[in-house]
Amino acid sequence: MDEVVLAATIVVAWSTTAIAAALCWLRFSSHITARIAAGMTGANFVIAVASAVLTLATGPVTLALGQSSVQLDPLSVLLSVLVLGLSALIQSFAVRYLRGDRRQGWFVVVATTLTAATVLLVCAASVLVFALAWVAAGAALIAALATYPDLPQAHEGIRRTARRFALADAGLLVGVGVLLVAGGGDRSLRELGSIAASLGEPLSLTVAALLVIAALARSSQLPFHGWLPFTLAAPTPVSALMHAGVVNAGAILLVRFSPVISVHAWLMTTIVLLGGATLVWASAARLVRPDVKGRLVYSTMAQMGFMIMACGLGAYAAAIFHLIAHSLFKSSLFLGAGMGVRRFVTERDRPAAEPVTGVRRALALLIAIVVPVSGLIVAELLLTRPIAPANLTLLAFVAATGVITLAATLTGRFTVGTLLIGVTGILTLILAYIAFLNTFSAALDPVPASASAPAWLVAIPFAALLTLDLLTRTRTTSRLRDRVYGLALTITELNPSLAKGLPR
Amino acid sequence: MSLILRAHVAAAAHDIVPSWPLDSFIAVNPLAGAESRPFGSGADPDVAITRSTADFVTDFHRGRIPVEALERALVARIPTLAQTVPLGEKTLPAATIAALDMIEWPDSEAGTVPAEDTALDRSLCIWIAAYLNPDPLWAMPHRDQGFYAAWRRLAAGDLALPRPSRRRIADAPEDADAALQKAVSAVAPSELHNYLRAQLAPLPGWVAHIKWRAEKVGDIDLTNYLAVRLTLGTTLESNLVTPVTAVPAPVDTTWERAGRIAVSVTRGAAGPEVVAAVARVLAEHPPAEHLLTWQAAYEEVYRTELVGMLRSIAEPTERPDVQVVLCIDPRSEGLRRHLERYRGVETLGFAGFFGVPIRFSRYAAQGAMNALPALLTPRHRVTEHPLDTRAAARTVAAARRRGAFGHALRTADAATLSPFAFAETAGWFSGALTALRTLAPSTHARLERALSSRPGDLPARLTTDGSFTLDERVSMAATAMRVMGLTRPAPLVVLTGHGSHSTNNLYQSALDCGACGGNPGGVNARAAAELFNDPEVRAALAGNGLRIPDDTVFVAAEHDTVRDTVTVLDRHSIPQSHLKQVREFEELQAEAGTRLVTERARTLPGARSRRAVERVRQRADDWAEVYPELGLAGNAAMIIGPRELTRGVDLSRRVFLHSYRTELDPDGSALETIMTAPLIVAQWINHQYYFSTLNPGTLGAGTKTIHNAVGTLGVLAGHRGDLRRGLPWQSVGFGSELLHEPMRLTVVIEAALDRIGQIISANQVLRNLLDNEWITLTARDNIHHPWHRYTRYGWTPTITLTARQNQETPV
Amino acid sequence: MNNLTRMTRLEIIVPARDAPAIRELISSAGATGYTSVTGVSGIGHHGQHSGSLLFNEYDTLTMLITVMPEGKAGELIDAVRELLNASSGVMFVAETYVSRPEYFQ
Repeated sequence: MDEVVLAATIVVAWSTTAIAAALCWLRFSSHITARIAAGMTGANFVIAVASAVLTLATGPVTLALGQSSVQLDPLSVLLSVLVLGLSALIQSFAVRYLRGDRRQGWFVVVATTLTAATVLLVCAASVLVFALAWVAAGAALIAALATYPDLPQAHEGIRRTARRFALADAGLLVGVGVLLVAGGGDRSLRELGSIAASLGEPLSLTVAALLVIAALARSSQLPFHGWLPFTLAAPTPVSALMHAGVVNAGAILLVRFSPVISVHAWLMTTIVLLGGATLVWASAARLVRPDVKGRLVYSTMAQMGFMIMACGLGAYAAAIFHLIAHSLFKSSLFLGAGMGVRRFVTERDRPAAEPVTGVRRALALLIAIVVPVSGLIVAELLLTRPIAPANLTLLAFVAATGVITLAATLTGRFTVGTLLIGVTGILTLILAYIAFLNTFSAALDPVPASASAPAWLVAIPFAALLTLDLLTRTRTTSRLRDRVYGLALTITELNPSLAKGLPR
Repeated sequence: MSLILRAHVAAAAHDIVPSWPLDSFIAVNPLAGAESRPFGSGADPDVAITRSTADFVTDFHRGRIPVEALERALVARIPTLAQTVPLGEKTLPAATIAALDMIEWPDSEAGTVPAEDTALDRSLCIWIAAYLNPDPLWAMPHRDQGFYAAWRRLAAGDLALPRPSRRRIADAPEDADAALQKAVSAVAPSELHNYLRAQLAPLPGWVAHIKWRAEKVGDIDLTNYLAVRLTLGTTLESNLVTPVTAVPAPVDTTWERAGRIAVSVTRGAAGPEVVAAVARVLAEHPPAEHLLTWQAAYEEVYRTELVGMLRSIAEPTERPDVQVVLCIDPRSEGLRRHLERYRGVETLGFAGFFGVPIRFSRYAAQGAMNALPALLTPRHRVTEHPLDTRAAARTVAAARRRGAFGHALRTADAATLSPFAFAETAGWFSGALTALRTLAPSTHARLERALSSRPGDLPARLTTDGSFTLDERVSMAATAMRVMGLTRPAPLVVLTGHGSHSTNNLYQSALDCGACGGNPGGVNARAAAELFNDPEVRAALAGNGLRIPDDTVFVAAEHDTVRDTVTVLDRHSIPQSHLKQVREFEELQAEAGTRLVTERARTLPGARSRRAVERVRQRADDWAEVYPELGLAGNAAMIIGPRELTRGVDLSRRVFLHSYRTELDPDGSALETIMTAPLIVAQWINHQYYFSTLNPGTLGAGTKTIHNAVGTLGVLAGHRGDLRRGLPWQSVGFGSELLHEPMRLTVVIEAALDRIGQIISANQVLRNLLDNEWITLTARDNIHHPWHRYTRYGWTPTITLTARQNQETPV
Repeated sequence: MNNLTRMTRLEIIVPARDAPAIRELISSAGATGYTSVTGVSGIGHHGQHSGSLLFNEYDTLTMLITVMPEGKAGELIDAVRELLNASSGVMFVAETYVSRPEYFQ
């Protein structure tokens, strides 16, 4: 029964694509095609939810086809529910949003292909299936960027993406090839550990490095980050789909191939350092961008940096938790990228806040620091067993968020009402967050990393972000601040040929 | 010296049309700088001022442009074509020959190869956008010193530039004027004007916005912009302006064309004298004129049909039960038609701000809006006083509390350290909300409305009596009454402003009332109603001869043009005696609105006939909908005159309607007011739609689907580039079809021709528009006189076609 | 004359939409102030101009009057002349005498 459901999820996803493509080729009304595809994806979502319930009750399911196999384990079930749900929503959105657009049909085909490839990716249980799905998803992404092929900016986006993906995916295929050869054909992801051990140190490291490069490029991390900011010349639903479904594939690779990658401690350290560097760099770039979608792009890059960093630290459950929540968050923000004017008009009508100064302000800040931090410590001590150092360091970010949110509330309005609601709200959220995260980790139960980067490394990007924050606030003249601002503003756009003065 | 340079910059920027930001989107004619020249003269080859010849020829074959219309347009534009020409045995009118030339051998169009973005332009865009960013997460350092100064300090340390460039920037003068002086020092004074114009030509969107901002905000001006541009340009040593390569159109010679026509007309027996005669005719109408003639013919067909539909009936004598005064907006035409199906309902058209120009802020609000036409500057601030002060205080406190939480959430997302865990927490909630919003938009909207009560929703009175003196109020009321011709007020007069409610629409302001500064017109309706209900004002008006009967009550309302519902505002101020009538009116408008939605659903893209009303109304809350309503697409004409002209006529929501009665306007001042304000606003709107339709990539904003907002300043298309001007494609077209027919505004006036002529000669703006054929004017003295067309040489009689006969009937 | 200081008076009549540019020049030239009269009517080179329109301040004529010392005025006159090359409008320059020169320095 469970195998049927598993097969159904994958088969329905690919049939949606096939049907959409066929309808478009037959020049059927693109509006109706879009509705059919969205409906089928929605139905597939329901199937995926059903399979989630089944799997969580009865345990993982595997379906083999010769040596290759697909599976439904907690990770694939959660992610396929996510992918199918978001895809159905975004496609439903696009039914109206792309109304009348000449390229609506193209979007439908591309979106369904992307969905199908990603579903296969998350459900893949063997190396070859994973690699093929990975390449297919990349290709579908590039096709999505070609939705408006006449725009010069679209050409630029496609060029940059294709170059990086081609390079990175070629490396991936080489690495996968080595694994296939060493394993004598397609082997299950669970057996990767033994295959890697049989490879010998230098080869195993090379394969792992190639896999990591592929992951970093897909998630737009340094130094392969130069494609994501140039992908805005495609309609908003494409961006929503991309930021919610494609860029997070890097973490999925790192988690699935953990037996190969995590044996090399210093490779994990590199992952943390690159993820952390991207996090800081993209945060700075986001702060100076004036356009809505540009901010979202760099925000995604920073969030992916956080996620990759978590993978490098071995905190796989935290990384996946972040992945899912971020996908939901970012797709909502992209779809709602046109709300700026309405928000402005609503804000205009609102009463001005009364400034909180002096003793009350100091008190507000004190409460804002003490309450979330202590709440977090208490929740962690009470609820988390065992306490992993990696998770602890990542909780520093949670503490920071709690402090900043409560501080902003109380320094905006310091009354009994806001104090009560603010404090109880923050404590409830922290408690719920920790509880949810723990339940999630327990349910996910990922294969633990063999070795991971030392947890204290997180302090570096954290400190860098803190410095960045101080720089943005400083009111005195500071050459460092000017330099950082100028660099953040221009380096994202300029390329070397500009510096040489040639028009490009 | 720098003062003269500033004058040069201002002179070079003279023809640039300032463009308004998204939050108060005012329609402007993007080619307004050329209004003092004939339409189409000296046109930039990049800019399409009419549709293509291929489109016109298709329309001709479809029957949309009959050949008689084409010939009439030819004769109207080139009077010498009115004669006949002997061609061998036959004799043909010259116009027919010229028409043949246009139809049978259409020209291929010249074009230009679009210029590629230069590196300088790209770099400039980044700096301007960062400087003007209205809600920065990291405010630009040194911003208070001005654009050039801030840029110079930051760029001098910009590690992305090579060291020699940075040094050159550091050596540049500190002051914008000095830097510009230095940059143009190599340019000859006689060439300076053209040089500056060429430097202002790239990035037209940003330049237009900067020109607007220099006047209205003052934190940046074109001198600063040019200083940065030229300094950056010399540092980068890049081409300052990319030359545009023109693609010349292949053109047959006149002789070749004449030869072909002669052959076709005489069926082969064409001697050289015949060809010569034909060539002489063709020389009068060279290919450069063809497009304008096509456009004139195209418009003439519509105009003739429109004028033919107008009625000549007498003014009704009995007093109506309710009068509804709506904005001149073409969307009101539909509602007026459906409302007038009921007995006792009379409708009038008046500028949407009802003659009350104010700067308005809601109760205790932190911001204000300009509720007046862009042609005026606000001089009076008005706010509201809630009737129940205790409830108001509670609501304000609740709003402040909600504001604090909202601010906290925004800070959590915007700060440097917090977004990561914030995304992990907020993601789950926003995922659920997105699902609800996409699959059940109305439910989501109801939830939102229930959770957010605003202080502005409390019953309140406006403070007009505090901001305007009694004399001013009387004068505004008197003007309104005279201009719209409101002599016999009904017992209930509903002043209906209009607004448009849509979601996730960056161009929502473009759908609101243009006469109210791109804002909903409900506020002005409320202010005007208070004015008219004030007994002191009424007493003074009676003294001026404008009597308002004691049983007349003015009520304010707002028409939501997406849902087509009319909501009565300020219910608390309606006296007991009129409550029943107001309720009856509300029932009327509900039925009329439903019928109007059904009518609109026929042309609204994607609106199906099943449950059309509900689905169309749902578009107001649907964040995925790019076609919430058609707005003013299709606008083609403006009619100034009494409602009897158009009562019962289906104008398909394409016409601006302004009420006017000659009898009430002895000195013509009301007509002058209408012709110099509402007409101008209608012309701006018409030309914006016109040029956005024909040039969606340059004068229009392109497709909404890739729009990327820079705060509320404007939109970029994609990840970088120039600010986009004009309307998005979704406002004027659907797929590859046009929703808007590009036609210049046809103005129709029923008033004394002499008076109209006097007003035109007294106002440069009207002289420009009419003599240079940017708009056309048709008028008649009264119902007993024939219609005449305005030309620069005088009034000429028009031709009307009656629907039944469909023959030409010279009137 | 009786303790009056000679200064230059400039009267500039331009379409209202071009007035901001003139105002900017006047301020940049160091004039301590100016008077702005909107809605002036008249007959001129380009035809008749009707005067103040009820609902339109954009298409009417504005007259800007400023008084400044003769030394400073020269630059402003040249600049305004340059601007009037591009837009329609007239400028009248006259000698005038003021009793409070410190207001205009």
